[in-house]
Amino acid sequence: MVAEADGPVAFLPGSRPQWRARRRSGPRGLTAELGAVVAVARHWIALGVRDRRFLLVAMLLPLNYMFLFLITVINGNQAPTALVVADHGPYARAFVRSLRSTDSFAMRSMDAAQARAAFIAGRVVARVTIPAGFDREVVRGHAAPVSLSVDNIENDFVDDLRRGMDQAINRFAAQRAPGGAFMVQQERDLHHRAIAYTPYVMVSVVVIALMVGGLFYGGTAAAREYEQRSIIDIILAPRSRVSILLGMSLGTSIVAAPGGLLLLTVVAFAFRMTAASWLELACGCVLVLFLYAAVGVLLGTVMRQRNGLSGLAVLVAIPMLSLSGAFYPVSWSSPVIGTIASFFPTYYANAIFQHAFYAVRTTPIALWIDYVAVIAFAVAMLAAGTALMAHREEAA
Amino acid sequence: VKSLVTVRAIAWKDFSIWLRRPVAIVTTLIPTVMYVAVVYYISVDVATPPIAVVASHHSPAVQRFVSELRSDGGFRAEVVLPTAASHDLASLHVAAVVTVPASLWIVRRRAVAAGHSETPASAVTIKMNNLNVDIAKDLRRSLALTIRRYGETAGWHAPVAVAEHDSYASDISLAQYRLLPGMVLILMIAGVVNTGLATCQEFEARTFKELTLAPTPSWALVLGKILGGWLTTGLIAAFVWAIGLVTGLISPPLSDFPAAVLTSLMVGLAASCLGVAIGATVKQFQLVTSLSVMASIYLFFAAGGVSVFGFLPDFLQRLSRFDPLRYAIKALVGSVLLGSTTGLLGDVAVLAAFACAGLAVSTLVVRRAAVA
Repeated sequence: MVAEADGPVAFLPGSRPQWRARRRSGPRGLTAELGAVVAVARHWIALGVRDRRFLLVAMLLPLNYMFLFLITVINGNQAPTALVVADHGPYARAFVRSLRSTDSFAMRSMDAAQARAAFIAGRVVARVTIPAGFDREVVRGHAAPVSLSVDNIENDFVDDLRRGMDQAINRFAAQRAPGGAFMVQQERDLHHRAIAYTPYVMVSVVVIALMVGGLFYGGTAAAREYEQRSIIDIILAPRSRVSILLGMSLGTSIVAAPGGLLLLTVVAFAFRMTAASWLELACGCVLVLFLYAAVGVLLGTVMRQRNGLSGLAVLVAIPMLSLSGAFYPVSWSSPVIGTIASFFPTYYANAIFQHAFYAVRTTPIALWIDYVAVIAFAVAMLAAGTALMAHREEAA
Repeated sequence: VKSLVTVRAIAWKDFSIWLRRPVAIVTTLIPTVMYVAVVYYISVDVATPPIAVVASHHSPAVQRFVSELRSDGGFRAEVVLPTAASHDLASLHVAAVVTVPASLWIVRRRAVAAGHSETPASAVTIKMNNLNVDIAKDLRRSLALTIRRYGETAGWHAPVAVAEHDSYASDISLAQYRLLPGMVLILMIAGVVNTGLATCQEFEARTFKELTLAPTPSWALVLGKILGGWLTTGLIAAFVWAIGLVTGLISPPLSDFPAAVLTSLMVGLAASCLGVAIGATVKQFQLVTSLSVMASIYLFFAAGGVSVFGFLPDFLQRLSRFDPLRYAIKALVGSVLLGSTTGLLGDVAVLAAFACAGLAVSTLVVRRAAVA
C-alpha cells in the first residue's frame, strides 16, 4: 500500500529530545559505525533478494537500455541510400567506388523503379542515380550529371550526405578524372586505428545503463522505506546518518552489480569489446555503481514516494547520454555544453570507462581528476542525503 | 447516464489525486524541460567540431580558404600558430589541425588558370584526432566540401555535377525534428505511467473491490480511469506545447494546429489505455512502473523516435507497422513541420484502434478480476 508521504517526517514518533537520546544510546566508535553500515547494507540486499520479480527487473534494466540505445547506433551514420547505375563504363564504376569509399552511404543497388518505391516508402533516405552517358561526359571533359534525391527531413544527416558526395567527387577527380583534382587531402591520424562507431558509443551506453540501474533500485528502495515507514527504525538507530546512507548505497550497489556484470558480459561478447585494462574497468564499475546508488538513495529520500521515480530515471538517461560525450568528446562542443556537462558525473564516468576500454582520453583533464571527480560526486551525494535527513529531523 | 456519472467521478478523482502530488508533477515536467534544452543545444552544436588552422602564408588565397572553412558550417576554425595547434590537438581542445601550404597552392592555382591540367594538386594536410570513425568521417567530409567549394571559386571544374532533388522545400533543423518525437515520448511515458499507477494503486489499496461492487458496468470503471489519465496527459501536452511555442522550436501554421493538437490528444488517449491495461494486468506498483516505462521507450525507439525512420534496420521498419508511435510521430511531424495532413486520418485511426484495443483488454481484465 502506498502511504501518503507528504510533509517532513511527521511520522517520527516521540519528541526531538527522545529521538536524540535514542540516537546517542548504544556503543560508539568506528567498529560500531561499520557494523551499522554492514547491517543496513545487508537489510537492503535482503529486501532486494526477497522481491524476486523486482530483482529481475533491476537486473534486466541496464540490459534493456543497451538494446534500446543500440537501435539508435546500429546503422552507424551511414545513410541508407538507393543506388541506380544506368552507365556501366569504367568512370561510372570508379565513381561508385568513390561513393562507397567515403563510408557515408549504406548503398543498396536497385533499378529505378525499386529505388523510387523504396524512397517514397521511406525505407531509404536518399537515391543516387548515375545516368547513362556518365562516362561520355567525363571523357569529353564536361561535368557528368548525377542525380541525388534526398528526404531532407532533418538537416544533420542531409549535410553529411551532401558532404559525402563532395568527398566522393574529390576522390574521383584525384584518382580517375582526366582533369585531376584541384586539391587533395593528406591525412595524419593521432590514433593508429579509429574506434568503430558502435563500440565507441556503447561505452557511454554502459555508463548510462549503470546509472539507470543505480537510480532505479536506489531510488525505489529508499522511497519504499518512506512509504512503508520502515525508515523510522533506521533513522532512530543509534548510529550516524552517514553510516546509514553509506549502508543503503552499498546495499544498492551490491544488488545492482549483477545487472552491471550481465551488461558488461553481453557487451563484451556481442561487440567483441575487450578492455584495455580490466583492473581500470573493475575500478570504474565499482565507483560508478556506488555513485549512482548514492544518487538513487538521495533521490528516493528527496521524493519519499516511488511514483515518478522510474520515469525520471529513464527520461534523464537520454540527455545524460549526450552530455556524457557519447558521440565525441564534450570539449569539442560549445563552451556552454562543456560547462553544463562538467556538472554531471556521467561526463567523468564516461572518460574513465573510455580509458579503461580503449586507452583513449575523452576529457581534457588528467585521468586521476576524473576519478577524483566521481568520488567527490559520491561523497557530495552522501553529504546531501545526510543533511536532508538532519533537516527533516530538525523540521519535525 | 448513471454510468457516465461514474466515469466522470472516477476520472476526476484520479486527476485530483495527481494534482495533489507535486512530486509526481515535477518528476514528469523536469525531464521535459531538460529534454527540450538538451535537444536545442545539441542541435546548435552538432557536427561543427573545432579545428585549428595553421596557415603558413597570409596570402588572400589562404585567407579565402580559411574563410571557406568557417563559412561552410562544418568546422569552427581558428587560425593559430603551429605549436599552439599541436597543444590544442593533444589536449582535446580541437578535433583536428588543418595545415594550408601556401606556396604549392599558388603554383597550382596559376597552373590551372593557365590551362595546365597535369600539374600535381596541392595538398591540404589534416591531422586529426580520429578517436572514433564517426568524427573522423565528419572531419574528412567537411574538408572535402571546403576544398570543392574553394576549387570552384578558383576556376576548377568538378568532373561530376550533382543535381539535388529535395523532398521538402527547406531542410528541417535537427532541433525541430527531434523535439516532436520527444514530445510523443514524454506524452507516452506520462500517460502510461500515471494511468498505470492510478489503476494498480486501486488494487494495492484494495479499493478496487469497492469499485467493482458498485452497480456500474466494468467498462465505466475502465473508461473513468482512462479519462483521468487522459486529463493528466492533456495537461502535460499543453505544457510541452507551450515550451515548444515559446522557444520557437515548433510553430505550426494555424491551419495545421488542430491536426497537431488532435494527434497529441490521441497519443495521450492511447497511452492512457495502455496504462490501464498494464495497471490492471500487473497490479503491482514496482512492476507497473518498470513495465510502463520500458514499454513506452521500446515503442518510441522502434518507431524511429531517435532517428529518421529510414535509418532503422529493415526488420524494425517492418515491425514498426504495429507500433502506434510510428503513426503518432508521422502525423505530428507531418502536420507541424511539413504542413501536410496527408494520411493524418489514417494515422489517427491507428491510434484510435490502439486505444480501443487497450480499452477492450482493460475491461476484460477488470471483469476477470471482479469475478475473482
